[in-house]
Amino acid sequence: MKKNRENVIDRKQAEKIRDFLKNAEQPDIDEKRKQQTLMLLRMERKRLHLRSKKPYGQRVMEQAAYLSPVVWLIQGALILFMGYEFLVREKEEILINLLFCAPIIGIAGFTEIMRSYRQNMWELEQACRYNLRQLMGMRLLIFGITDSLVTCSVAVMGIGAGIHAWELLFFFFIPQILSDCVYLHLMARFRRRFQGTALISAAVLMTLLWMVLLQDVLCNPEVIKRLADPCASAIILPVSIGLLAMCCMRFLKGTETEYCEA
Amino acid sequence: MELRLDRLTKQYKQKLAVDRIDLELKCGVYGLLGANGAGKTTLMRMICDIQEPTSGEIFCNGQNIREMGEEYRDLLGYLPQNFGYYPEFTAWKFLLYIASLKGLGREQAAVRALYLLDMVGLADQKKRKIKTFSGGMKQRLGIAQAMLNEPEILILDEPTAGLDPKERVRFRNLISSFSKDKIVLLSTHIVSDVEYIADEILVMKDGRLIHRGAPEVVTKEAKGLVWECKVDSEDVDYYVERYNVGNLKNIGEQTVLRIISDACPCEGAVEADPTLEDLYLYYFSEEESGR
Amino acid sequence: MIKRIKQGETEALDVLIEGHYDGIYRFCYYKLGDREAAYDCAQETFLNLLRYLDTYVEQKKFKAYLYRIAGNVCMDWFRKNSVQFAGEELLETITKEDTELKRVELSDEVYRALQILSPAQRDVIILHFLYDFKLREIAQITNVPMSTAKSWLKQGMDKLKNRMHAGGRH
Repeated sequence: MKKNRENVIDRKQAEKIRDFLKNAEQPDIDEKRKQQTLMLLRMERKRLHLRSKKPYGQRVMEQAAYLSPVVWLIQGALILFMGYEFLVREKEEILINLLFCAPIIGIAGFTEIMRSYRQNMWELEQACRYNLRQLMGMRLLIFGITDSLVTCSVAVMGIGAGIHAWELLFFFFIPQILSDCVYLHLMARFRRRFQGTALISAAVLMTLLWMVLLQDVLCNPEVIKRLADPCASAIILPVSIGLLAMCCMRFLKGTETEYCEA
Repeated sequence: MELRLDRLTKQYKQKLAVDRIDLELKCGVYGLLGANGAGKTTLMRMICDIQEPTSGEIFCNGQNIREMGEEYRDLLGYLPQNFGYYPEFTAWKFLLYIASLKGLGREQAAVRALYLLDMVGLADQKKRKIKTFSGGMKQRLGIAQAMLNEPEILILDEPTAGLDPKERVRFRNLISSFSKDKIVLLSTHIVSDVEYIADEILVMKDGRLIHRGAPEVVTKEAKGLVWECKVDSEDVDYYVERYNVGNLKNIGEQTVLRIISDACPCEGAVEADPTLEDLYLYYFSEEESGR
Repeated sequence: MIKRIKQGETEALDVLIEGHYDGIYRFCYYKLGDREAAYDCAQETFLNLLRYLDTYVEQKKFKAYLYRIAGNVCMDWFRKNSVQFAGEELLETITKEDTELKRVELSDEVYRALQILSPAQRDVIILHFLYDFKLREIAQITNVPMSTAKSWLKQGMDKLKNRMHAGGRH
């Protein structure tokens, strides 16, 4: 009962208070201040957008989605080819095939990396927030990861087929790494002119070079003994990787400097 | 928004492409007029931080753009003269790709891409591959990508190349509506593209800014230099060889010539009101004719 | 609305201002009693909305969320300007002397009446009677349990009733 009476009072009281309050003079709004607020909001939104950086991983994933699927097919085909070779070939033939494949692994990736120049997109990409250098860096990272996966797969299959670690190193890893260094150097030097057939030609030359350099190894026990020594691997592998890193940095740094023809 | 170019210079081995340009740009539309080789593209590339100047600096709101880096590029929209694309990309995929490079989120990119495709009249072509596009369609797509990040500074290098008259009118309206509180710099050979929408004309020759001002002010420079005269059709070649003829129109057996000349070219010639096109021909007739 | 702003729609901010600026400004004015302060706080409200967009949880009603921000901005203003809420006694002092609280404009009976309320009571009264927010929404805006909001409303109503009677209104 008391509660109901309170409610009744409240409602009447509420009505009176509402009427009383609605008597308040509604203040006029200065349109200029309103527009000023809107302008400030727009500027703030821009500023916030500037500050909000997409996480690097997210950017890399987004870029990967735009890469040609042909590259993945080629790399998959390489793994399958090597897997088949490990199953059916003799050791000497396997080593020759490893030498053959080593310079080829990087080609598909580098061709894709350089397509900004091939398709004349470099100018547009250079003027974007995440510019050409960052874009190239992301592509190098993506193909670095995928090439590493291919390499690891081949290594695992090789060891399973009885290939020694040092043989994998000198007949596969090192030729692959040094071939990539050569491609990066040529790409940094020649930019737009170095792609497509030039890249394939370089790969063929590298393959022949490795074949020539290492063919004696297979017949020379003294050299085999030296290469099999863990010290050799401990020195040559980090040096090769360091060289590759340097070539990548040089290539990326080169995207900052202008190379537009007059 | 303010862009200031301070003694900007670009020297190539054989050529001085941009020669000590001092320029201040505030909000509005700027039409950059100049013949091929005048240095327009080089200037625009330097403004977009694609090319490093040999000397001089560019400041955006008082800050050096080289120091600003990513922050500056986020304010930019750029359409290059030779517009490349990935042929297998559809228009939609292309815009999303550029949007990702411009730092837009996926949802935001989709909203902007749809809006811009509609604005440039390519909404129903979005699923088509760019390699199937006509020149005009590619150009419209290029304009759309330049505006993805709502840039404060829009740099367009020959944006109307390949557009038909209807598309050019659409483009002009688009730029006019866009430029309210932004800097728009567009270079062109087609004088009519800038004559009606530019707040200021910048005339560039041999790497230097030889003239700047509102279109009507700049056009006045050609006052007293433009003549119209009626000649016999058989005499037309004579006049074309000797004088800078801007236009000729056959009327029966006679031809009306519009001649740009310091002195009266012939008896009966009447002084005509100059247009911006006349001024362009006055400055660049040699380059255009390849003499 | 929030989604559209997050997606970067150009027009979303215009729609936001057109739809809510007036209400937020008036809310700040009722709370603070000062035009300039109300403009500043209204501006700050929208800027804060944008800054903390990511923390907005979609289930909450947008309008309530916006007014909550406005309430916090006004509280910050009070703190910065060291303004205590004007109780009845203080109100008498002001009308007589008009000293350190010169900025508080007391141009209208209604505003005088609102000044006798505590900030919390004032918020609830304004939101309920002038903006027709329900108690649940008011509780969200003021970040208190519904029972607390209800008791503030009751207390505020009682004070106003007395004030109105004292002023000869009924």
